Amino acid sequence: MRCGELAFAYSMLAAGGILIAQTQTTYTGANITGQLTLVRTVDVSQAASRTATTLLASRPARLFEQHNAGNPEYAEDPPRLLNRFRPPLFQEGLDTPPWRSLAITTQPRREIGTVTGLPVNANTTAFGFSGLTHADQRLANGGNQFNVEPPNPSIAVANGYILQGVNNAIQVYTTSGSPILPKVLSTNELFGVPAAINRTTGVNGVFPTDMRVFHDQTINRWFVLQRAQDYDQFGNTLPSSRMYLAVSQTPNPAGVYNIYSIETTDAERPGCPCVADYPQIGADQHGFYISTGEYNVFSEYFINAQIHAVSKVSLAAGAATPTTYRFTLPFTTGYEFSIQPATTPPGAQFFAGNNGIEYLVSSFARAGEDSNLAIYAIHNTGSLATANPSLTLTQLIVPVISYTAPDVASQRPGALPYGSTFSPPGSLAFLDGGDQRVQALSYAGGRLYTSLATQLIDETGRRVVGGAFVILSPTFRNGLLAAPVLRQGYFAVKNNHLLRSGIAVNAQGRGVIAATLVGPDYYPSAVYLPLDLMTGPASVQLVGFGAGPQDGFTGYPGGFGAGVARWGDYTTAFVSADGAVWSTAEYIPNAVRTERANWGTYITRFVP
Amino acid sequence: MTSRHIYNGLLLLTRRLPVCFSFIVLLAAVPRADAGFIGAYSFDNFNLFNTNANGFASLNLDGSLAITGGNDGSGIPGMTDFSLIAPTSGIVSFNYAYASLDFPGYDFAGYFADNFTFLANSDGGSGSATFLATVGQQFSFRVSTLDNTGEPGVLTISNFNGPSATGGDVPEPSTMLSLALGLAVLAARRRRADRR
Repeated sequence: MRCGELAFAYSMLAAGGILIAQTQTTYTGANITGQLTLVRTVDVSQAASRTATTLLASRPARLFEQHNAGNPEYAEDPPRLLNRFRPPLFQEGLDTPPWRSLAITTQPRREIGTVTGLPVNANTTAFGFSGLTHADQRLANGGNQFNVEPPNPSIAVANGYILQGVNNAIQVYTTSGSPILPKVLSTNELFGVPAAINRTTGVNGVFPTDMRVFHDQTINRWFVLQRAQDYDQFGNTLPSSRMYLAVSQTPNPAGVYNIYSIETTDAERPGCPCVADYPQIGADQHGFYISTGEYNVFSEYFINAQIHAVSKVSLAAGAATPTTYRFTLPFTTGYEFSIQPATTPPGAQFFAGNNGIEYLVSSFARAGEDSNLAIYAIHNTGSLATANPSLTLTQLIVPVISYTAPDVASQRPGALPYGSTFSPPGSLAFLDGGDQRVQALSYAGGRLYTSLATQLIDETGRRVVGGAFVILSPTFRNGLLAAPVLRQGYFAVKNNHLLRSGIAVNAQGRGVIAATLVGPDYYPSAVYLPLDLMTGPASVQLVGFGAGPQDGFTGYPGGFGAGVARWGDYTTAFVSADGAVWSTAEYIPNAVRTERANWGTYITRFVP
Repeated sequence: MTSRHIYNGLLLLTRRLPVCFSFIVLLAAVPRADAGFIGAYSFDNFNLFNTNANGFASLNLDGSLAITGGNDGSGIPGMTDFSLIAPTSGIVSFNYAYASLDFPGYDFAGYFADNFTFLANSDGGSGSATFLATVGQQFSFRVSTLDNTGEPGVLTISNFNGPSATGGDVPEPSTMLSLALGLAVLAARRRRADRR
C-alpha cells in the first residue's frame, strides 16, 4: 500500500475508529484428539478412471433431451433439496410465518439507506471458463447421485492446479481450464463411502453436502470437506451425523488422499442428536479450522456453534488421529453463529505472536438487522503441534456498518423448459437471497477483510440484495483484543441483485468480491468486484454471462418454498501464489442440462 | 578559532579586497550543503531495509520523504530503515514529523548514525534534528514497530540538508542572501572605520 493509500486509511480510521471500552468474552475448549480419525486412503485419479471405464448398471440421469413423460422406467427419484438451516432468529418468533414459505418476502426489514448502484461492465477479456454443472454432478459415479440444489461451489488454486468442488462432486483443472480427472468424481467416491443412492437397487447411502475445498500453503496440501447427515437405506433420517475431511498426501490434487471422519452427533448434549451444518474453513500457520453450527437432526433447531482446530502438522504427517481441539459456543450474545475463520493469502504473514493467533468473524443472528460484528481470536494455536494443545478463544463485539437480512431476488424472465412440464406450468421463481451471515474472511497485511449480504435501497428506491464489506485492523495485546474499522461500505447494482458475495484479497490487500448478479436485467451471471483498501468496489465485472433463468426443482412446488429457488449457498474466492484472485460463482450457463436443474458454475481469474 | 577571530579576519578581507571580489571569495570559502533529497542525497540513492517488517518509503510532492513502518500482521517486532552511505563528512540536518494511529508505545521513529536516536513514538511529534556524518558512514531514518499490527507509523523528513559531496554545488538562495547581507554589514563598518 503506497503513501496515498495509507493517508486514506488514516482518514478512515480517524473517522470511524473511536475506541470505547468494550467487553470481551473468553472461552476455553477441549482436546478431542482421537475423535477425528483416518479411515482410509483414496487415489483420486484411479477412482475417476474406474468411473470412466466402468458402466454401472443403473438408470442414468435423464437429460432434458431424453425427456419421456409418462414412462415410469425413466421416472426420477425425488431430488435432494439441501435445506438452508436458518439463523436462530427464525426460531425465536421474530418472524411469524413458517420459514419455508414465501412469507419470507414479507419479513419486515429496516431500510438502511440508499446506495448508488455500481456500473456493470461486460468483461469479455477476463480469463474464465465454465466449471462444474448440475449435469456433471448428477451424472458422476455412474449416475448414482441425487439431483442437488444448490451447488455450494468452492475453489482452491495452487501449483498450477484448480480444485473445484460442488455438492457432491469434484474436478481438478489446469490453470488454463483443462480438466485433469478423466471424469468428474463424486465425493462419495472421494471419501470411499456408498453412493448417495444406488439407482439400480434404490438403496440410499451417504449424502455428503456443504462443499468446501482448500489448499494450504504451509504444508502444501489439498483439502476437501463435507458434512453428512446419516440416513437409512430407505432415506429416513437417522439420529447421527459426521464430517468427512480428505487431505492430499502430496501437493498433487489428483493424487492420493487421506480420508478422515469425525462423528458430529454430540448425542449427550441437550438439544441433540445434531448435525454440524454449514462448515466454514480457515487456517493459520498451525491449524486448520472448521466452524459449524449444531442443529438438531430432526427439528433443525439451532443449538450452538462449534469450532474445530486441527493440527496441520498432524494432517501433513498423515496421523491416524490428528491433534484436534474443539470450542463450543452457546448462543449467548446472538453472534455465536456461522463464525467464519480467516485465511491468509500466499505472501502475507500469519500472526506469529502469542504463539499463533487465528482470527474469526461473525454477524448477528438473533435479529434480522444489526450494526456490529463479533471478532474472535484463537490464541496459542502453536500448541496444536504438541500432545497437549491448550487454545483460548476471545470474543469481542465491535461496531460496524449496519446490515439487514436480505430478501429474495427477482429474475429476468426467460424460457423455463422444466417449469413448463408442470400442470399448471411453473412460473418464474425468485432466488433465495440468503441471510446476513459472514461469507468470507481474509487476513492480509495485519488487516481483516470480510463481506456479508444485506438488503439495500438503490438510487431509484427499489429494494435490492447487495452486500457490505468491512476492513478491520485487529490487535491482540496483553490479552486484549481490539479491531477498529479501517474502511467499510456497501455495494449494489441498480434494480438488480448481487447474491452470496465472498471476498478474498492477496498479500497486498488487493482482491475481489465475487458474487452472482441477477435481476430484471440479468440472467444469473457470475461477476466479481475488484477492490483494495484505497478503493472499495467501484465496478461490477460481468464474466460468466447467464443464458437463462434458474429453472430447477427447488423453484417449483415441493421445492424450497413456493416460488423461491435455492441459490448459492456461497461464492468462493481464493488467492494463488502469484497474487491473482480466482473465484467461482453459481450461474445459469448455456450448456447441456438435466431435467431437474440447470445450474452451472463459472471460474474466473483476476490479477489486481 | 573564536567567532571574534573569524570577524576580524573577514573585516581584514573586506579592507584588502573589493566587495564584489570579497563576495566571490567568501562564497568559495563557505562550506556547501545539499538541500533536499537531490544529488548525492537523492531518493534513489537511499536503500530500504526491512527487518521483520513490510515498510516502505516514498517521496511526497513537496519534496519531503515519508518512511512508513511495518504492519505485516505478524505480531512480532520489526523495523524499517531507509539508509544512505554518507558521501562526505559534515552536518546533516532535517525537520521531522511523526504520526501513527496505533496505541501509544507500539511504534516509534528515529534515526540511526553511530547509534539510534529516538525522535517520536506513536503519540506523534515533530521537530528538528542534526547529526555529524562521517564520509562512508551509513545513516538511516528508522520506523520501528513492536508487533507489526494496529497500523504503521509514518515518519516524514523535510528541510533536509546534507554536506555537499562536490565543490560545484551552489548554495541555496537563502544562504546566498545571508552571505550578501553579512558582507554588506561588514563593508559598511569598514567604510565607517576608514572615515574615522
